[in-house]
Amino acid sequence: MKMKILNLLLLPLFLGVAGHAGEEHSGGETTVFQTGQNAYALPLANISREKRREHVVGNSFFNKNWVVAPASTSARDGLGPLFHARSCSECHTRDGRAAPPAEGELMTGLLFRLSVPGKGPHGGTLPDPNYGGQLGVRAIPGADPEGNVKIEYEDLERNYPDGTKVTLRKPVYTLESSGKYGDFSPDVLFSPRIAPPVFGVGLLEAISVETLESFADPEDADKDGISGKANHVWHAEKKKTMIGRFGWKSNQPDVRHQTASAFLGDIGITSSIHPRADFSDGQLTVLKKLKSGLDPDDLPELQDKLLDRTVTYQQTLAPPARRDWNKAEVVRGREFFEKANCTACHIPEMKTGDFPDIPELENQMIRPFTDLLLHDMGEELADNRPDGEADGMEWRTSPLWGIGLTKTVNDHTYFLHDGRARNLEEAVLWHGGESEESREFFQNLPAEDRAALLRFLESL
Amino acid sequence: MKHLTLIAAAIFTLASTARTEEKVDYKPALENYVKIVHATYEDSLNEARELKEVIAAFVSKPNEENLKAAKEKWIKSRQPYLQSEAFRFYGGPIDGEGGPEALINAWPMDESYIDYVEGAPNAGMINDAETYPEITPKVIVDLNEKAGETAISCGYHAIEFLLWGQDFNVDGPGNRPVTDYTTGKNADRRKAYLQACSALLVGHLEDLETAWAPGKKGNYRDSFVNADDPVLSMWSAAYGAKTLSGKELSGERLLVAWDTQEQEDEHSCFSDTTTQDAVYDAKGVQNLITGKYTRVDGSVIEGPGLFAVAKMHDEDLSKQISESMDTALERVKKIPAPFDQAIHGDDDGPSRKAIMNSVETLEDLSWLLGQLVNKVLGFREAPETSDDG
Repeated sequence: MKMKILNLLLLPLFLGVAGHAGEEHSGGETTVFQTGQNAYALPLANISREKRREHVVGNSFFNKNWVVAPASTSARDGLGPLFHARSCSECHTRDGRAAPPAEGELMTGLLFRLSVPGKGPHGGTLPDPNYGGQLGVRAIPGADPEGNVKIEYEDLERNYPDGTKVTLRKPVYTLESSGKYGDFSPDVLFSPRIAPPVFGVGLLEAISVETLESFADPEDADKDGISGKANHVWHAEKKKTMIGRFGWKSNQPDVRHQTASAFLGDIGITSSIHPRADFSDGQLTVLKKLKSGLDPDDLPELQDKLLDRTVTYQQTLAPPARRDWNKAEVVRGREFFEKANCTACHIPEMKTGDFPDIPELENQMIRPFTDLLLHDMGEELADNRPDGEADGMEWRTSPLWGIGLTKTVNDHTYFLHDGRARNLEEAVLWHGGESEESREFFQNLPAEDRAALLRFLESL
Repeated sequence: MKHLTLIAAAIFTLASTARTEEKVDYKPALENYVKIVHATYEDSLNEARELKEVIAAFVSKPNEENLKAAKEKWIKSRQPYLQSEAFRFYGGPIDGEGGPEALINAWPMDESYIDYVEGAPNAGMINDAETYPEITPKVIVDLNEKAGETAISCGYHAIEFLLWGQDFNVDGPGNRPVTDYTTGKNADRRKAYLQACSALLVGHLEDLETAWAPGKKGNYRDSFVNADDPVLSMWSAAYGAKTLSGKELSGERLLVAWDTQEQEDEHSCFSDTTTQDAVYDAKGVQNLITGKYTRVDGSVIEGPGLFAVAKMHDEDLSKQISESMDTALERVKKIPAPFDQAIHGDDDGPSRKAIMNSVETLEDLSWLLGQLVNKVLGFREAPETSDDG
């Protein structure tokens, strides 16, 4: 008799956990369990010794500064002539998320894409005739930066039906030229982009195209108000159009292409994928005296092997496990997250497919909370700058895994594409367009249920 | 009833394990650790002061002989500092918030921010009197504080560059002409830069020596050795050794260059002394394991090291650590100089093999030290700065 009572008492301990089997394992068998400031910086838990070595070499090239050419460290020179940062990690600090610049600070983790209306040869954007595709805010000695962006914030009220007041800050951007490279095109379009975390990207790349397409519903055939749409973008190395997965508008087909583009756009490093800096003729006249990858006869500044390693490094960065995933408030928060239909785009769970280069990533049940697709996010968030098949209202669903560790790793809680949200609650409240109903559901919850939903996000 | 007994037994086991771990007395090992740390920094400081004198002599009378003397002193002055790299990686005085590591040993270096380089005869602060009318330690430090905008380098590798120049020689180091300090353009400004760097180096090492000096209430040593939580101090000591052996020496310093085969992807690239870097880094790990440090003057500090600490937990592990350390140092010493040539050739060739053997043993050693780190921590969560996979 005694034993029976005991069993009953123990039952909730073993079976009473609500939720989803294995849900704390954000990256399946690749998941790491550290919760400190290096939580985003760890190799896949199941990594082989051989891959770990490639990871280590890539880590070096991700973290170390690039220097001005010519330097003795020829594998690490070629910075600029225009650049945003000296290393990947300067923006993706500890492989995490950047913050917008503080007042009076020159931006580092935030950059501005530039274009003019129309489409390029492969459906991509058309660069500004004088300033190219990205604003260069820094320059090596002998060159001048292209300019800067003035950032001001306006108040935007987003009060709750229960009377709780919230004021969001809406950024207002003004492009400012340094005056050295002529005028911006009168119809120049620009879009702010903050450096996102880079862990888990290998797993996202290992999701099959079929799986991603199964999430898409571009014409909203199921009439749920949510029409996930894939971007399709040109891969300069594979010379074909592929489904977009990375970047704030899913405008990058894979980690390799994304990385080569960031090397060029952000550090000024050419590679076999992007052998030439995309400067205008006018800029070339000004800049070509500098030895920095501008001479058509120059070899790419980044050797292929080092690009490979830097790519492998990111692909083998593990997502961190969830914390407190079985605490009552978190479990309740997850229920609200589902009821609010956040999961329509922030898809909780999916399985990766084949990935022969890194078998560690294959067939893993992962919990990234994204569909990698584009969604209309409403007027207030719009950058009004089309990018491939993404229109000026659309953004990619950001993965949410690891988001609760942002404060620990990066010492801030600025979210969204330009860091305008100062915490997770503000990030939720910025949601509009297709996510409007979900946001309203959240706003209509009692305060303690809203808190539970936010606690759930913090557990990711 | 069975369940209850099992659970009770489990709880008892947990509690008793925790109790056993608390019984491990780290104090003697920590006392010895801080002695070694202080002595290593004091040696580094003394060497840097002598280097400053030798550089002053060279600057006042720049000739081949004095340049050679300065180079020899630089090589020797590196030896204690390299061993001190085992005190990094846990957020201590060297690389915690505001720590001087990047000012002492930053690499790679923007040499063209300092002086002319091949193909850019007017590069660098030395050749830019308009923007920088005066070159002083303060000017260099102030520029460095503008993070991300400029990177005017100081520290060992800046001094190395100013003594050797760029290395374009297959068989030997860089060969900066002594005329750079006599009849060459901006010779006086070059002298000023070199002296400023040597003065800054002394200053930064003084700060480290003070942080670890004995008998100073409230300095880092005091809080480290008399910590309420000796486990955290012991963790730091073991974790630093583990990380230098693995991630830094095996990975960053040896494996990266082995993999890229990039002629100058090596740390002391101007002077071709990268093999010395590796040997003395490994010795730094060994000092902590054996608990024994031989000072520059030949005197010896000796006491319980990580070997003794490991032995208190697990005798088998302590033996493995000791054997692995011996093998690692033996193998690192076999890497042929100059390192920028050793990385070339076939993977099975003697020099690349020597490097890979070292990488492998240092990885093993790091893994074993990781086991020790875990034993020291017991059931506790790793501190924030830990980056173990």
